[in-house]
Amino acid sequence: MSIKNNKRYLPEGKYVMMGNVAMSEGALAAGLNFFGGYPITPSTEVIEHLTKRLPEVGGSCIQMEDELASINAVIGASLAGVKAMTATSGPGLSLMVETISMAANLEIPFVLCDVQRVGPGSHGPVTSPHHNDLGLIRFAGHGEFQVIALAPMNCQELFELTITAFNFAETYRCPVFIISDAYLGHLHEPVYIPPKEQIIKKVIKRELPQDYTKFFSYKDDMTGQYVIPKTPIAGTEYFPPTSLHLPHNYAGLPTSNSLEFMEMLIEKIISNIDKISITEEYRLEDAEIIIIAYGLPVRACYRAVDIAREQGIKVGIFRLVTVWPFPDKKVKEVIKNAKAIIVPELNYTGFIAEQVERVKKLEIPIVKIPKVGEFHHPEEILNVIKEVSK
Amino acid sequence: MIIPKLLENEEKKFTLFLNKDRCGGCQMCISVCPTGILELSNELNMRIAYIPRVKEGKANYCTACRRCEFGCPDWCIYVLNNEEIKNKKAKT
Amino acid sequence: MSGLGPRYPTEKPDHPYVQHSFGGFLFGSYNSLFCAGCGYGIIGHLFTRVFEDDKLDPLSFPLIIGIGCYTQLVTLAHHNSQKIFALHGRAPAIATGIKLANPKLKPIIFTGDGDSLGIGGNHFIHICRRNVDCVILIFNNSIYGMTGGQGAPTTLYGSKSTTSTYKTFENRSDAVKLALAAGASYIARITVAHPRTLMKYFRKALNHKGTSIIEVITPCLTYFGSKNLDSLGAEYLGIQGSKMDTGGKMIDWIKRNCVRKNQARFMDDEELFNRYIIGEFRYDASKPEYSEEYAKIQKRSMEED
Repeated sequence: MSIKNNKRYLPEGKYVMMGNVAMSEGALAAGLNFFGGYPITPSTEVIEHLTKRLPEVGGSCIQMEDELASINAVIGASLAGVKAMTATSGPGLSLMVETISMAANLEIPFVLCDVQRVGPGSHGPVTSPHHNDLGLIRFAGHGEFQVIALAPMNCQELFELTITAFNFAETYRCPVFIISDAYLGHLHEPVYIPPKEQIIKKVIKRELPQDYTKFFSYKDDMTGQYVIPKTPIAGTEYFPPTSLHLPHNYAGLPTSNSLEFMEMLIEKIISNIDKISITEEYRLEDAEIIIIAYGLPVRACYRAVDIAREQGIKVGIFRLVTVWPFPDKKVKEVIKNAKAIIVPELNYTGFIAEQVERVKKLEIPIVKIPKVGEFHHPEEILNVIKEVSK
Repeated sequence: MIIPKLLENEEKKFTLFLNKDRCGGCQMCISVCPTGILELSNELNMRIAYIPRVKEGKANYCTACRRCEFGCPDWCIYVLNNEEIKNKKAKT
Repeated sequence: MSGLGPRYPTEKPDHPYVQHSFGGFLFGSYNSLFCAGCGYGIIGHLFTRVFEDDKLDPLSFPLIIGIGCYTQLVTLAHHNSQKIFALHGRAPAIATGIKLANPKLKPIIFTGDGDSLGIGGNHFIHICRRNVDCVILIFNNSIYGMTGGQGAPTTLYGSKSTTSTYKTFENRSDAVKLALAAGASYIARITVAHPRTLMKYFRKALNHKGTSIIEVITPCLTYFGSKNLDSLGAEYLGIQGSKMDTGGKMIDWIKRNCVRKNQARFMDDEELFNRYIIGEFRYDASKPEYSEEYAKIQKRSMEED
């Protein structure tokens, strides 16, 4: 496609695009300036499209020597102050997890698109979808942290949700994943691109803040909310004096209270779950059978529900657009009076089915006793036992 | 506290200082000195290491080449010109 | 950082560069975190000295530091420099990302012999091949010091380490030959016993546009020196050496084991076995640099239809 004058935004209109290309155009509209990747089926079209488009808008696209180098280059570019992303598949994600863990500690934002294929292993039907990385995405690395994962179901959503993903990354400074798969990435569908003024209004920019003393997230003592400052930029005055990958306070200096640090990494996302969790409901008002699904299988569910309703069966769909963090409260509310729950997933383990089971069984209390870096004391456990037995 | 001066050269106007408590006793300054005027003494410092000293009668062999200053990993032996000493005393 | 060592009272007049280092700037005084006889204190001193004497702006030279004993070198670096801590072996990949995102910055990478030639061997070859504008300082002490003295890819033949308690019989890898084959544009090797030459090479690398590799041979007293004899490197003489248990003995051993590049042309393999050849191996200012070539592509694609 040939575009003149300010090539970042496509002119308004309807285009027929492949899923991977729609996602790349969404990333460009969100302000992408660096892409470091490695070719792997089925995500190769992303790097091939961005190699042509990123130099046109003044950005850089580089094919690195392996996935480890790709994700490290993305982290470096994010530290230097530009928006960066990478795209890979299952075997590549397995290689990248150490760096994702480091980026979660230092709260460096980036977006990773996982175009899943059949696994485990590196051979096999690489152009067939298999949502097998849900567990790996949720626990993408050693250590404890919380990620955000979005699951689009058609090419229009691949364009729009990528912009949302970049906004989440800038606001919450955590790894953000886009869950795609081999069929969705290669599907050609019509995509409507809105005019550029509408897109620019939605995008959150990377810029320098007013306050140059706080670099990492912390809990405000007065209000109890988590404050997330803007990302530091190397080469400017706004950069922490040391940034070791260990539990630290808001200035980057090491702290001995590791438990508070883990709590911050997880709670800064969970406490904002109402703004992060995007869901859709379809004919749920009087449903007795509820379908909970995400991604590609939802397309078939819409048609099945229409046919079933004509035959008088009361069924509805609760669709998850944000898969992680899992919306415990909303799901518990929806399945309160259900007679049966159906969870169609493109995998055997049923990662989301397990989460729904966990939410359903939360009638008896489960009390956690968290500790980091030290032993439990028998007295602490005894106190909790006494409290629960009342 | 004043750091002891290992030697002081009036006509060329420099002084060799040694910060006793930082010294680790590695003997690198003794090896790199080209005129060989340093040797190990029997004095122990707070890091429980033997510190160097200037050999008797060899104080005027020092040429302020600063090889000991560049070769010390603990930043404890250094040469200062007399003007620099005056500037530092004026600042502090 | 907790555990910065005992704090002795500040004495006057102090070492002229303590106040410019990071530890000295924060606490007013410097107390060594390294073993007595480790070469990293010298390297920190020379680094701060170059930045202070030449009045360079530390904000345009971000420091990328790998994992090893030299990670503690940040307390000795200039207090204004921006320090980015990378994973083990991945520093060149982060440097590529930073350089392409902001071509005005020039990364300086601190890495060790295991970090760059062991786990990071792949990234080392590719950053030399691409000729990205950065300075890579490889601190070669021929051992893995931080984890307690295990063998490294550069451990000398016949020496002992905790994972080769009988004898190291592997051939050692040579960073200079790897960089020459991969295509870096400025390659040099020097030791800690030649500090003024190290400063000269470092200044040349800071002014050069392209990948500069400076391999610095440093002593490791605790794990290499005190467990090995100083007859290493003098096998052709057949002498029985003694253990190198002070810093002075290790500096003497390094100076004896160094051979200048022009001298080495006249020596045969037996004499050069287990020795270090020092000097500048290549200086090519005409080689195209990566971010400049990419800028040409950006210009061309922005003007084309």
